[in-house]
Amino acid sequence: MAFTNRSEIYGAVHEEGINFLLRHVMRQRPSLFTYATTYVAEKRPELLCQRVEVSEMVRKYNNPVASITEPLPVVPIDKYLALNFCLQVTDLEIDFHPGGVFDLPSEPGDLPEQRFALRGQACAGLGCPPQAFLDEFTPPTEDQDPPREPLVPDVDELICFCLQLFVMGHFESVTVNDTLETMLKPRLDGIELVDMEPRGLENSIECYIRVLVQVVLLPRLSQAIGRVVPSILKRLDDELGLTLVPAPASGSLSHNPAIAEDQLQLFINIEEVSG
Amino acid sequence: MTHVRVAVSEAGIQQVFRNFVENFTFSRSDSNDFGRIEVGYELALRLTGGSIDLSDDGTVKLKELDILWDKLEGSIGFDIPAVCVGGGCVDIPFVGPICLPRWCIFEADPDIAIDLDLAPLVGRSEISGEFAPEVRNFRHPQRPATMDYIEAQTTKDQDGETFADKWRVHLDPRFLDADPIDFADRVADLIDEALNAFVDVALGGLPGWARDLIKGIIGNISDFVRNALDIVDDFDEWLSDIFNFSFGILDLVLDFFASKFADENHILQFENPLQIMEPVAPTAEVPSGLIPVKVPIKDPEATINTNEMIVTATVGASL
Amino acid sequence: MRAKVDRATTLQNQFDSGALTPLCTVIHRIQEPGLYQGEVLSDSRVADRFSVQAGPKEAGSQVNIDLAAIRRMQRESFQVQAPGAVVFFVSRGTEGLAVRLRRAGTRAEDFEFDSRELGENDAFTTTLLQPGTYEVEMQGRRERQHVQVRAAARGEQQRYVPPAPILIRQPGQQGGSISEVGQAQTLVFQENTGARVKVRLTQPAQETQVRGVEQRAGKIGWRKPQ
Repeated sequence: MAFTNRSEIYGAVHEEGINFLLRHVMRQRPSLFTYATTYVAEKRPELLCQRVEVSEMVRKYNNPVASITEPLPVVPIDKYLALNFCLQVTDLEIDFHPGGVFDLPSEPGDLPEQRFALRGQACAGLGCPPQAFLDEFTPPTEDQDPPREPLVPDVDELICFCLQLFVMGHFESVTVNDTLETMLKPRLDGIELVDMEPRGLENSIECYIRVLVQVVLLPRLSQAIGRVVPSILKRLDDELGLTLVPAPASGSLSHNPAIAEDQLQLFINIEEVSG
Repeated sequence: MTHVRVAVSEAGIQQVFRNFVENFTFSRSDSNDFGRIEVGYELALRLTGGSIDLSDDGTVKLKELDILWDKLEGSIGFDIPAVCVGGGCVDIPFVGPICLPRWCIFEADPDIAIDLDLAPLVGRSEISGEFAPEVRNFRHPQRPATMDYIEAQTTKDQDGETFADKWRVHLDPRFLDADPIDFADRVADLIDEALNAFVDVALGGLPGWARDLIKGIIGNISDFVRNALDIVDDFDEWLSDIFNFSFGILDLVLDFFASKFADENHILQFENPLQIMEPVAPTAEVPSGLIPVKVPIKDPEATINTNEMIVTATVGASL
Repeated sequence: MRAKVDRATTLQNQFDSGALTPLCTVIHRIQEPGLYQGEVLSDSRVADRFSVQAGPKEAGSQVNIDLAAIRRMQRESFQVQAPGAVVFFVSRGTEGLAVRLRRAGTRAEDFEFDSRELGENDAFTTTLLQPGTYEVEMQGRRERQHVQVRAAARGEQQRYVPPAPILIRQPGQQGGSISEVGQAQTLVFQENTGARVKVRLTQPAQETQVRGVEQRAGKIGWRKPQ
């Protein structure tokens, strides 16, 4: 059966290829996956919870290893005191229906059709001030003017914890307004942190991480993955006079993009010739 | 294992091919001496029609691509021998056998130049051939050895081509055939008309009896010329042979077609490593900016079956 | 594109053995071996000189001497067997040249041959191109001979090959006869040619008579009523 029996052009990327791709993204754009305060990121990167492997180009071009964030405020004296911390997402892997790269925790169940699963590790570390600092620290009074910046105590270690996280999602089918660049529209179906007690804490942190994944990580990674096939086909559009558009999801083509056989599949038509 | 697979249907390849044909032009002029005749030509042509079939033997078959002659002009120049009177031998009593001198009508060996518009008289010529897909690695010949892949992608040469390595998928011609140029026998009439016109002009200032005498001595001007120049065939066959074999016009056309189609018109091209995330320009927060994210693409292959062209490749584990 | 017709030569229609131009020759036979000195005369004055060595076996039995080439100083010595024939002609130029020959060592005025006064066995040839009637005048003879030059039959695809040179016989004493010759056929006059021969066109052929095969102008006749 021809690959192009449901559209003029067909493109597919295997989950193993995507996992190599994810490793390249993590090594070349580390600041997308590591967030830390200035003190940790620039002065004490060895304090990070997980060692960050970067490509030699990151070093050659002096790219940051972590994105800088504001320190964690200590309420209600947040204007006076804040703590160093870091947040890292590592070891990302993807699995497409029918599965096989990793086992899902029993909660989300087996990997259904047209679904992908993402596994990773989320770590957080807190720069807990030493007792000596707290003994010396004078709490501000209510009538005192706040300093320009809160005080952030230097530390020699971060208290870290890591959780394994599982994300399940699918890609929404293309609409008539989509182009090759906007074909991959990921949607989160569920997120699970493994074996965390108490449940309330797990749910809250899940929420936090869900926000991070849905708003930051998934869109950026989808965009990167979605570049592979259009880049290969680019010349047909630019130089050879063809106009490429996503094939509409209808009739025999129920999903576009589709996830099947451990692959992400894209179906593309040529505007003049589409039948 | 194969990580990436892209397939383009037969209809897609046909569209690429149609685009190429619509934009194809070729023009050339040349001249050469063939014994005592100088023949020149000037041509300009386009292509039309043709069909593309993908075959299970792994090739793309091209059929019935027609050549459209926008211009096909020939020029023929030669000297004809002088036309003379007098001469002959006679036995004169007492003197003996005498061979008399000749006088020639033209002041010097006349040279003739005629121009022919051959485009309306050349028969249909069709091109057919076979192509097979090939993936080639393009390495820019001027890329310095020390240039890294990030610089290579952002640095361009004077033609706007980046220095990055590229994978290119070509349809490489295996063979190309064309019907030989075949002039209708009206070419002989055309040459005949041109020669007669030439003679009429040359003899224009003379009274009728002188014109008739000279034309009578020349006889059929085309036969006269063919005899003088040792042309055995009729003019249309002779000219076809010159165009096909001496000038090799169709060889030139096919060579040009092959190189243009195969070398310049790769169907797919992508840089290696392939960029999947754009670089970020320096900002106040990130003064160094962010480098682009690229993945290495390895072992690309292209195959053809009767439905589609398939290109496969692997994502490399490390850059 | 060069195809320039030599009009002067082509349109000539009168010829004089004493004033040579293209399309005619005078022919003289040298009997004795030896060196002969020649002079080319233009307007009765000596214009050029040349020499003929008669005798060497390696020379031909005939030598063609172009008076125009001598005039242009292209050649001045010739060889021929003895006995051998000298054919004088003019390749280009209508000024009208004469030529005379004497044996080296003889007296200056002792010319064996002078084209202005042909000897009994000297010959004069002329090639007539224009169709029509020509009059042949021989010095010393009262009767004029007439020659009719017949236009070539113009078949569409055939080449016209002028007939071979022909010896023109003298007519009987009374009446001038009209001989008919082909267009561009060479006429050879000899035998009592007299000292000087002149040929000139007296009646050009009508254009209608020139075209086609054997066309005759229509005739009007009268018959005696019965």
